[in-house]
Amino acid sequence: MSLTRLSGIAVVALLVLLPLGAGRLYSDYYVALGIRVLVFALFLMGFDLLAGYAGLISFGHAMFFGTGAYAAALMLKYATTSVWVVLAASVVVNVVVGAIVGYFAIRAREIYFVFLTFAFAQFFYNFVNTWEFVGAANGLPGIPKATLGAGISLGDRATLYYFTLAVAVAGYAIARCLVRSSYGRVLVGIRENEERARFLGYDATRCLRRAFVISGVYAGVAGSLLAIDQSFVAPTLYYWSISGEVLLMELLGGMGTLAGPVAGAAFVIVLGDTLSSLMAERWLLVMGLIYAACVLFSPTGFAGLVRRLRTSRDPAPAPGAP
Amino acid sequence: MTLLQLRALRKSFGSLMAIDGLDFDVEAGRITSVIGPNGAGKTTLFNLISGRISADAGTVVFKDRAIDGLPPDAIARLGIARSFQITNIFPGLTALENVRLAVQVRAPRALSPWCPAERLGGVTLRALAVLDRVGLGAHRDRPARTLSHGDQRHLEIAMTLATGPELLLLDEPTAGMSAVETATTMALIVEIAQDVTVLIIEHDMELVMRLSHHVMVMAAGRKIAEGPADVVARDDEVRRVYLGGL
Repeated sequence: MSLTRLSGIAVVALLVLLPLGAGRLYSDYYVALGIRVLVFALFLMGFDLLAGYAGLISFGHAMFFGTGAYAAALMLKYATTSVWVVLAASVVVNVVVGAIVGYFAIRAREIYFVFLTFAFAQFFYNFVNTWEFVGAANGLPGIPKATLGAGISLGDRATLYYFTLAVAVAGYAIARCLVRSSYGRVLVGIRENEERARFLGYDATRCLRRAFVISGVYAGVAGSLLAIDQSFVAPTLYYWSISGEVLLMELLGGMGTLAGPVAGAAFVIVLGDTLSSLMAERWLLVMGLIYAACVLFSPTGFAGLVRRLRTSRDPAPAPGAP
Repeated sequence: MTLLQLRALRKSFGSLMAIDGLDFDVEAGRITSVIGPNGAGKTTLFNLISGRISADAGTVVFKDRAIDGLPPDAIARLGIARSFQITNIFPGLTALENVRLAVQVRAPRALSPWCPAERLGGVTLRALAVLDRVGLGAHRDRPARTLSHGDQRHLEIAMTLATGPELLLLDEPTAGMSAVETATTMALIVEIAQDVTVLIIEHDMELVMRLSHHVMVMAAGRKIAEGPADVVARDDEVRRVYLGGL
């Protein structure tokens, strides 16, 4: 078994153990923090499919995150508490959003794509921020707890944590499968040289639109899980700072590696939490310095750092090996 | 049999008439060369055929089907592959992956999000065979950007070939190559032409004369002559506008 797979299993095993110590070794709060880490890990898997593999940097993924959260909130409040139906609805809504926004945004590339996705996300933000039915700027409180079926409520933090962990692991497995698939290879080809891919006969626009939708579904399901956890949604879930934060996680982790951005998500959330509890107002300043240092010392992110450490130990790696 | 038929083709960029009412047929099974001075419209012609740009007027018919106005990927899937004047490959991917992606486009599950790329029946094997054919088998695992200029150009030819085209457009395949590399490329093109129709833009006159079954001479967006290489070489107008003292 490869070292990568072993460390993956170790990480999942540790995550499985996390709720067991809650209330004994540490407070319940860490389970809530764990859910937040898993939510953003899921978000980043989808973000990396688009940014890292297909080469499209979106600055508007908060539109999916927010839409997923609001879709879940509305479903729970007015339709059903079944988490399966809620997540299915979230997927459907985000496929529609991704297809419509992707249809327009995928015409542009690079900075223009960044700007278009940002503009679309701001449109969503402003729309929800003034939509009275969902509480406008005040948000939507009092969302009922979701249920798993067979009388199991996800109101219990540990149960929700395990459910979120299962979704994240499944999401990771699907993403791995995607990047290994023939479609995944074509996306990498388009990232490397879109014109070449087109002249070989690949409909790059269609491939990229699909990637945009898939990536949006990940962000949407992540948003839904956050809404289920918090019992409250607000327009800030649509705010551009979320789009910026995931981009930061992506860069810190190492683009196009899946595991890297997931680690980036965990790092940013845990570090932000630790620093903000240690110091009052200066924590953002310290965090900024840490980010700058990370990018300066390992421009290819955590994934690049791990690769370098491994290469220095084993002087003869196969060229081009992952 | 006429594989490709251009009729009254016209394309201008602002006030510049790049292609000025061109009629031209490419016969199947031959090597046809397009020659002409710089700015004659040769690469524009390739761009029009391959769908990189669209014509202002006129038609492009490939195997009895009008292809003008189709996007490049659709034209490629119909069986027209092209190389570029400036090497156009996937620089960060290995030589094998470059060719593998080209073979994959014809595979039944080319865009399957579930089927692992390695499991597409025979794609890797075919890619290896094409790599061997252009003499790059030994470099299969090297990132394309680390190959020599000549090898990169051969890799691009391998990629176009790997899509299984009926018509291959080669835009100055020997540009920037050493004499030895040029000879290798020439032999390769002759070999390829045994089962693929080749349309080639080339500046190396010696190569054109030895390689081509048919030559078309362009100047200022127009066809000024066409015919067998030796006939064209003796044409007075061709000598005046292009060949000079040859």
